[in-house]
Amino acid sequence: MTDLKANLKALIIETLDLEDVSVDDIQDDEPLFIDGLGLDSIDALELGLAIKKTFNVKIDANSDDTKQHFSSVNSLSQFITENK
Amino acid sequence: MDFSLKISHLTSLSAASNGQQLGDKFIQYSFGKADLPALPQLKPMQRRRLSPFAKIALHCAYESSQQTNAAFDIIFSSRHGDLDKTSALLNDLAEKEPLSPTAFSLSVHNAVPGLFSIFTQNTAPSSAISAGKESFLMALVDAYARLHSHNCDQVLLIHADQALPEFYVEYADESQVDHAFACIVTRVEEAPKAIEKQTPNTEIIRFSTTAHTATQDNVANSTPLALNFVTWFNSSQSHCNLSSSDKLWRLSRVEQ
Repeated sequence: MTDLKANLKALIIETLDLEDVSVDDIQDDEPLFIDGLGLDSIDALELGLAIKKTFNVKIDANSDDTKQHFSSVNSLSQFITENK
Repeated sequence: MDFSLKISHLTSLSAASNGQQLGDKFIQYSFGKADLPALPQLKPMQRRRLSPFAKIALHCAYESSQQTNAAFDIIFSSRHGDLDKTSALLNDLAEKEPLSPTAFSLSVHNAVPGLFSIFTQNTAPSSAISAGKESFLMALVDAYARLHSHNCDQVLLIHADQALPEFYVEYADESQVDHAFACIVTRVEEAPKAIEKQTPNTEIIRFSTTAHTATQDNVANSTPLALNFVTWFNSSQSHCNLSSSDKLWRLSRVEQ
């Protein structure tokens, strides 16, 4: 697991107050929303804000690509690496 | 005003044992994180976004409502609402920081009854009231109106308030205590059925008001009216006087 992915998982847990979830519980390729971790649309907004603040990347809320970027830890880390 | 209501299944929480002197005037009583109710009824994903304010209010709401199977409307009252959350959002606005979407989504005054109705899948009407020191008494007025217009037969009343955030403490006009209570409110029937008397801890209470001019002495030590009400309800005293800024509420137990 790369540092970025570990940081992302820690950020997800802290930002979204995920009680009883540890970094090891989140799989790199697991869907973050609805299935998998079970996050919802408010989580998406909260996480987007936290990623913007932490990694200083711009997120276009209206882009179809954004949905793809937020689908898993893998896709998020790729998106951040490419847009830093 | 002069009306009577039947009140039962009262549940309350108060941080009154965790006192901490604030300046030389007020004592603040707040729940520590470990003292907050666990709310085992909720899934972790539902529980995680709840503020301490929502937790103490929802705890009482669950405890009081689980003892009834009949449908009920919900009336929520709070003088300041979730002011820790509101003031944090205002602070972010003032500093031109982006607002937390989660905090924003739960920052309305009716967040608690809204969450409760979602969690319990209760589609009955609910309202949220803020009326200064008299907030919970005005919730009872709303309950009376609903019950006597026969829009519903039972009301779940939820009241919660917290010690003011530090920024606002200089405006405090009563002691600052985290507290919440909930109860079931029903009509006083003209001819009560015998079976109704068997519900334990049910009281018919008459509420009547007279105008008065508040004396300013001893304001610093005055307790929130909701806490005075809970203490009296659980006592054996027959009467209780609650003083707001412009009227005196006289509460008395009616023999059943």
